[in-house]
Amino acid sequence: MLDFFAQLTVNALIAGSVYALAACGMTLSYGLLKILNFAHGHLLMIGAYAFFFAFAELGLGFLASSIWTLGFSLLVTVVLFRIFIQPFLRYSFLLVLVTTLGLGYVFEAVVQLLFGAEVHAYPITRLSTSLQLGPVYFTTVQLIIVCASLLVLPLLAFILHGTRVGRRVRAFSEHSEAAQSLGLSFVRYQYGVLIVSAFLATGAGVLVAFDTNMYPTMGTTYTIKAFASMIVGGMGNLWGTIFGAYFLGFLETFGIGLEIGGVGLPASYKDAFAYVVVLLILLLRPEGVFSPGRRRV
Amino acid sequence: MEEYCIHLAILCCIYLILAHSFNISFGLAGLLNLAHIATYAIGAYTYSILTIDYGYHFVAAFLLSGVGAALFSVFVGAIAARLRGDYFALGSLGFYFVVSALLINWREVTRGVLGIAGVPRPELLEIDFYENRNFLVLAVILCLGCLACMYLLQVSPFGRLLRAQSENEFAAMSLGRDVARARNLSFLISSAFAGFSGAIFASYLNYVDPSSFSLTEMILVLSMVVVGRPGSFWGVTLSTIFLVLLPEPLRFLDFPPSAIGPLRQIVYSAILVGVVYWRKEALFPRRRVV
Amino acid sequence: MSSSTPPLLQVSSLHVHLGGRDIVQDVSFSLTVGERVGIIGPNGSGKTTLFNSLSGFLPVSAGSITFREREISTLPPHRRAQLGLGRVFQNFGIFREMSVFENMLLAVESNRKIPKRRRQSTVAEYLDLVDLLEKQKDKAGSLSGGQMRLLEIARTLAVGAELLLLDEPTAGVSPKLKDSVRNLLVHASDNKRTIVVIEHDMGFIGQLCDRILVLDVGRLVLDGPPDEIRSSQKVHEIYFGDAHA
Repeated sequence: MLDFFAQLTVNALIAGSVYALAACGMTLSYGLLKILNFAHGHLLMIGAYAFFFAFAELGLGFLASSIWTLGFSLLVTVVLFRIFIQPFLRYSFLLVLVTTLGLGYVFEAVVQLLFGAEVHAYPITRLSTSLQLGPVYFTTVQLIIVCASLLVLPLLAFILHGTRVGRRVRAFSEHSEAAQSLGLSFVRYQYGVLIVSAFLATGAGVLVAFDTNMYPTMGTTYTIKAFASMIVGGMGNLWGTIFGAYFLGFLETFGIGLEIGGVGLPASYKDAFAYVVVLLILLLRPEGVFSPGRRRV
Repeated sequence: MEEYCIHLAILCCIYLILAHSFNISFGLAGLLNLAHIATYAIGAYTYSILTIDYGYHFVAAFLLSGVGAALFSVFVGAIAARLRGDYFALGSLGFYFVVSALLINWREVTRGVLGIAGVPRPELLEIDFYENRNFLVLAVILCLGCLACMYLLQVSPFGRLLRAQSENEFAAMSLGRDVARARNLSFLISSAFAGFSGAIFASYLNYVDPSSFSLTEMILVLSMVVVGRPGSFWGVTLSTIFLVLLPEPLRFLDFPPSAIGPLRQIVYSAILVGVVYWRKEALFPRRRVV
Repeated sequence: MSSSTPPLLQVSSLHVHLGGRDIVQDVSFSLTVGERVGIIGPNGSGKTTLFNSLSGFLPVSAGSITFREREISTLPPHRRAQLGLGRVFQNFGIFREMSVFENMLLAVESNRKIPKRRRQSTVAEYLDLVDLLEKQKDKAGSLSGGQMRLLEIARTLAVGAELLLLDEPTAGVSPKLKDSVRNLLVHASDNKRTIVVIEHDMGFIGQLCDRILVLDVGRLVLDGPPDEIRSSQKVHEIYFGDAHA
């Protein structure tokens, strides 16, 4: 029984790590720009497919594929930002939401045209080897996911709270005009956060594809997971979002895995958790668990 | 060819009701309810379940689909009361996802992704509605009826109140009108008509499944209202017909069948993005500059 | 005031068009170093819009803005700030979630004239100037309105601003601290900083400013010393009706 519990915990950690990597980019861009980028999950998807194209279809090596993937994702992100987000920062965040919602579906359809709607998987590599730690099983790539998350995310938080650059990003998040009046260039920091955000999403996408598989509609799925994490922990709040991601991972894994009194939820309800969480939090505490109270007009 | 035109005409009838129903809550009342497509789905599923599992007659099932969808909108109204302005759109989106998950997973009722097949055509007055021509006549009658109701609503004092509260909620409240009640009523009406169009949809295709009610459908409906100008009766009418017919030429070009779906998705999403881009001043208010 | 020194700020025929309307119309004036100027006018007369276009948050539809003999109307806000144009915001441009210390540190770090080793001490100096040294570890959002305002002004001075645009600095400030604000601004102008305040508190303006600009419906209708403005019939009309319904 304890073994089962331990395995569930590890699975939850893995799921939470993926969601955290996916969500942090979204929360950083929300914090700075006050926009909800519904195409963020699609960046994950584009990353996964771009890597697949280089690695599986062209047969390029790991390094070359990574460079290509990062470069391509960066290009897509910058173009997306420059044309569809930056000019809209003056307007209600709904404009960016609806625009990125539409664009996300364009990306999805394009990928479907190019690669087909069915599920794809990366060729089997060393990353799929099974490992065992006591009673718990996991794969190499899953280990990498958790390690990446546990290393990168606290690093991000440190940068945000302990360095001059991070201080400036936080200043922009709170009152961008006042920060600009201190002589700081908003545009420069926009691009900085954007690039970090894109790298996180792309990396997450490739790791997920190695771990399980990829399909064109995964973009929407991960956008919702990222969004749910953000909603729970507080939009724009980095530690809160990380917490929200792991919370979601645990909720999903244990909700499916456990049976209370012989009644368990079928596995297909896993994704529904994220949706229900989003709704509940929006209704009960829209500012998120960790954010300072927001004045609701 | 004639069959094809009849098919398109029936689709137009369905979408005209649906688009105008969205126009009431978005175009008139200024509320971006992204769960609207869920009410459409509720209507379709209600009709299907009532006719197949319980053997309801067309008229009763049709009316009850509207009622079911309207009841459902009570939840949406509750969300609107709790979340102001832009955050309501987010909440409604969350609600849509919950409903979507239920449609897929609550297999006992909805048959999940397999959907419900064998939804019957109406049985009225001994006419064979499996003959599409006859169904078209029925659809047109229902469509005209619904549109007439919605048009009357738009020009009525209630319609004016909805417009007023969308422009300045506080001003409308100060006039002594119960804005919250008006808003909830607009959701009720809007959802009822969405439910009706869902019933016609289910009856026509004889089949409902969750994929017909995806977010891309919501994007399509949103586009229909946005392109035609929110609040404008004739604008929305024309743009709906335009958007229903727009991707049809794709069929006549030599695309493989698997490409039609994604291409349609690209066309509709791109149109939405484009129109929102060009009409942003009218649709989304500027944020306050300090 | 020597007439041979060039003006610090020169605004010529400024027009700002926003949302289909002309909010600021044909406004011209100039400021010399050390002046203390007040801007008054009824709500909606375009005062904040004028400030926003000077700071760079709104585009200029026509006319020019010259700061230190340099045309700045096409420069982004941060560049204007780097040149010495400071701004204090109506809604408190304070970073509430950060500590008082961090707020000031941001300004000091952004001032290239302050060497790295002197940053800490400079932060302490400016915080001490406004009596906030003991509160340096507190969250800025926990301060009172007056304290926030003093912090914001001190921060603007710390970043090296030579021209300070203050939008309703006494709003939300207790009477006792209003004196502190005024004293701080006088102290700043004695140190060669130029002050421009938008205000509704006539007493405050009367005690602080040596020149007042009156805005009405986007136009500059009067420009003169406080006595002249106080006794002007026109100002009376603007505030109390008659001139336009």
